[in-house]
Amino acid sequence: MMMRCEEIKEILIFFVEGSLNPDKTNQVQKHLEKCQECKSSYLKLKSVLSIIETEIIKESNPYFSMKLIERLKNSSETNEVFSAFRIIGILKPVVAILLIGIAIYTGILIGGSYSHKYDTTVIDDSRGIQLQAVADEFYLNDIGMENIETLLIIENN
Amino acid sequence: MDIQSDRILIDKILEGDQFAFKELVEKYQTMVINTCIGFLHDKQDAEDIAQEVFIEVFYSLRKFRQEAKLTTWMYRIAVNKSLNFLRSKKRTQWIQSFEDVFGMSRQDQKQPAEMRNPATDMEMQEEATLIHNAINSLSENQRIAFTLNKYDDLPYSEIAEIMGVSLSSVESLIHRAKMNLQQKLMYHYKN
Repeated sequence: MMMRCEEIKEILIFFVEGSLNPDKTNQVQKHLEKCQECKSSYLKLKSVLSIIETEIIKESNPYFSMKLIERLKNSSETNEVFSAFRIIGILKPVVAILLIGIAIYTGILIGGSYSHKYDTTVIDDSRGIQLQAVADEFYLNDIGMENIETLLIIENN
Repeated sequence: MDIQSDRILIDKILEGDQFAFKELVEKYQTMVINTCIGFLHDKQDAEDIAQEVFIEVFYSLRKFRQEAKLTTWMYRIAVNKSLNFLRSKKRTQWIQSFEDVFGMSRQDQKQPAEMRNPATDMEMQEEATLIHNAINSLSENQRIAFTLNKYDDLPYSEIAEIMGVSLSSVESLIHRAKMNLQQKLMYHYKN
């Protein structure tokens, strides 16, 4: 059965762009062969839609990037951004090295303080004498020497 | 492959390499200009807006999340900038018409976009105006989907990603856009 003009005009745009299924395409083609009015509409629609194709740019403009770079170079903001990018790029490894250095130094400090606490050999004589003097004066020595458990023992004598 | 090479380019630009930025511009300028042409229908205006797009890309590159495609992000900027340009142009035209009514119009006005179209043939010029008006009369979403499909030849899936909608929404938007265009063009030829 041949399609009616109203039906054709509903799907003409899809026929122009070739997105109809083969059966529908065949039916539209047959209709256009016989109907001058629909054929005229088809040709006009095809011509109008082809304008889009003529507007699409296929080749790049060599002056476009030059103009853009020039525009960016003249902008002080750009120079700031580029120098910021560069500074950040340089600073990244420097900051990383600094952080590693700080971490190592802190580690050494912590380790060192613990070793001082337990290593009695590092205290030289003069420091030992000074500490002893302070301990004698404030009676810290006895407390320091006293075993913690003995504090809770009641003396009977 | 393209995503990988784009990442390398972005990293170079972020390190301060100006040649890498030039390479990026040369790689994507036709893509961006065609998107802008689809909305503005004027080559000069499209090139001006495309320049704005690349300037925005340059300044915002640090904020760009690299898990997304660079082109998707660039398309979004191009669509937004083009639509904003059209809105401001509409406002200017309104002020212009106000000035015309009160005899305050300047002589050094820019020619209308249609007059500067490369299509010199009268009939072609008329057809160009006709299709541009028909596209401009579409709803914003239909227009975005149709333009990205026709002027940039993008698949529906990529349009969905750019617009942040589902694939079926894009299919529906493009179908309705075509139906509306057909209706408007047919109506014009009937009268």
